[in-house]
Amino acid sequence: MENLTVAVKNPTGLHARPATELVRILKGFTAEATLAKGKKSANPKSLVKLLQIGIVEGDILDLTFDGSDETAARDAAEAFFHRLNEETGEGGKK
Amino acid sequence: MTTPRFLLAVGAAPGVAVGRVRRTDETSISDNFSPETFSAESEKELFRKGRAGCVRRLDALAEKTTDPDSSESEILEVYRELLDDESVEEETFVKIDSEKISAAKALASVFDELLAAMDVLDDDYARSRRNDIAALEEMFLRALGEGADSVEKKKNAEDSEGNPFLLVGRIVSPLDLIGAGNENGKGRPLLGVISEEGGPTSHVAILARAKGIPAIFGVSELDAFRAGAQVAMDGETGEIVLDPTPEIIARFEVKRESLESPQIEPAPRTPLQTPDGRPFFLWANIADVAEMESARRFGADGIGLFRSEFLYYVEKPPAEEEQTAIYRRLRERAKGPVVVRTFDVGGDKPVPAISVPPSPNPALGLRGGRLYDLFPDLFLTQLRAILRGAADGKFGDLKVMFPMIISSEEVRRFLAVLDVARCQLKNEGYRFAKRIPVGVMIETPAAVFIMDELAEMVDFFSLGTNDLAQYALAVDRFDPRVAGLYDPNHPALWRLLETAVASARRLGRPISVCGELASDPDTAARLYRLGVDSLSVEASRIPAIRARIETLAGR
Repeated sequence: MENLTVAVKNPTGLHARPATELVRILKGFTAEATLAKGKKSANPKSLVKLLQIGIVEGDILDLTFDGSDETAARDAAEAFFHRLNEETGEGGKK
Repeated sequence: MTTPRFLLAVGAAPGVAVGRVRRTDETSISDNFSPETFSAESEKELFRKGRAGCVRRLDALAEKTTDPDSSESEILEVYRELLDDESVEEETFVKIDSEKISAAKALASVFDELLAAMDVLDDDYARSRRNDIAALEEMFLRALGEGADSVEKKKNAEDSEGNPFLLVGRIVSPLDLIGAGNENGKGRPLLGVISEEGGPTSHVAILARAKGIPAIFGVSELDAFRAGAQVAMDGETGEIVLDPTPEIIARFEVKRESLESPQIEPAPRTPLQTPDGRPFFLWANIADVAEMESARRFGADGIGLFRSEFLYYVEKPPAEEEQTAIYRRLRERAKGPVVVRTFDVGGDKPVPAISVPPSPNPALGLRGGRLYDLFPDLFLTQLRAILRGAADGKFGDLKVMFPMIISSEEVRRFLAVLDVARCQLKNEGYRFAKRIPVGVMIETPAAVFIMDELAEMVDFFSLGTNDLAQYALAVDRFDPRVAGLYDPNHPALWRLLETAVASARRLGRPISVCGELASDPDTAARLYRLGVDSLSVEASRIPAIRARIETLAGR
């Protein structure tokens, strides 16, 4: 089991496009993943669920990864949030 | 004979259209379900077929979009992922199995729960993604009702009918706008969008602005819009007229024609020159990054006016990082220079972040640069973000411009704040532009007559003709009782303009016009002959003005 805690610093939060990217990244791993924002939690492999909890700037997220490739999944998610926080608002550059 | 009805709602994308209503919900969602013959397996099969139909529709739309970086492609990707979402399938199947209900009912109930959860989100941006989910639900349910194959066929049949229409519905899907528009005469003849739901950051609004399709949101009396009824709309003002009289239609047509321009290929074009052989530029006025795409498509040489106050039309003023990113992106995406006008808010346009008690006479009260002393943090943050957005660029790629000037003292104070911003950024170790061109709007008669003083402090001028005309003629053209007195060809206004342009020439400072006066090809030609260095107009008007000036310069 691997854990990751990240702060969302992107001004428009985890909006639709980056959320899609995160889902696609995590779907590439077999490890079971969970994402919690305070009391709310969502399956980060589901875009619908991610949009439902509405992740915005300033949110602190706790993710867990459980499975044979859990370390790689954690690293990929960490790299994704690092990029997101560096990035612009709406429609930033890839 | 029907009497016209006037409605006013929220203008979300500018432009004028007159056309017949097509309702988004014309196709009713049929549910030929009978509990006697219920089979969970066949309902699940229906779900899969419906989804396959939706995927095919998205693929067909994707074929029409060629630019992988466009907002269209991004939206298609998001929808594709939403369709692929396993949790939707799982939850729908659980409901089919446990409640023994049709696929359509189960799906509708899954989406209802989803949307209810999104309604309580306290962030505007997150909540506006609700539209995407609602639009997906509608597409999905329609596919279930009609059978997988017919969705796409029906869409194509509608498209090939070719009759222009205004799309009206409670929810309009961004997918309805993809492939729509009138570029190259291809695409669906969608004239405008009227809906109940939608916000300025919704995908529908972004796409509509990028495509030059007028859109109005927040319309509550949708039942009044019968299919086939005639409607005139102005997406700038939010004005809608249902069942307009021929006179009203004529008025809207005139507005529309003055906005529209012939479709001219922007690619091969020779640089323009002023009558005396200096370079001459046609720039675009824009209010957000998405409009940059229109500006490029219409062949703008740069952005002569970025109306930064639109960044503040939200609950919380944009943070420095966000603004920095926006200015950097503008600089990187523009074909030429970008002039950022610092926030220009007046008493007539309330902005949550910049709220002041209304002035007894708004036009002469607290507005534009007069607000900066009251909101020093907002002003400083904006200047810091502009300097940071200009970092690593070429000198002159990004410029800053101050509005509503009447004295050199004001400019001196603003420049002092700019110096503070530089010092802070240096001490804090940020990357920023050490030098940046600074300009002022010439939009008061006072400014016209002190341009020599101003030229000692600034690098360029921009004539704001809307306000200059209002102050020179003492006429509010939006007050119908005196609008008749407003004459854009009034000799007093043109003597002011001549004085300003002559001063700029003498002082060796470039001068541009960024008011509405420049939008009319005839007046644009007159300003060109006067000797201005550039005109900055709404992007869609550039081709007509370019054509006009090329004819003038051709001889």
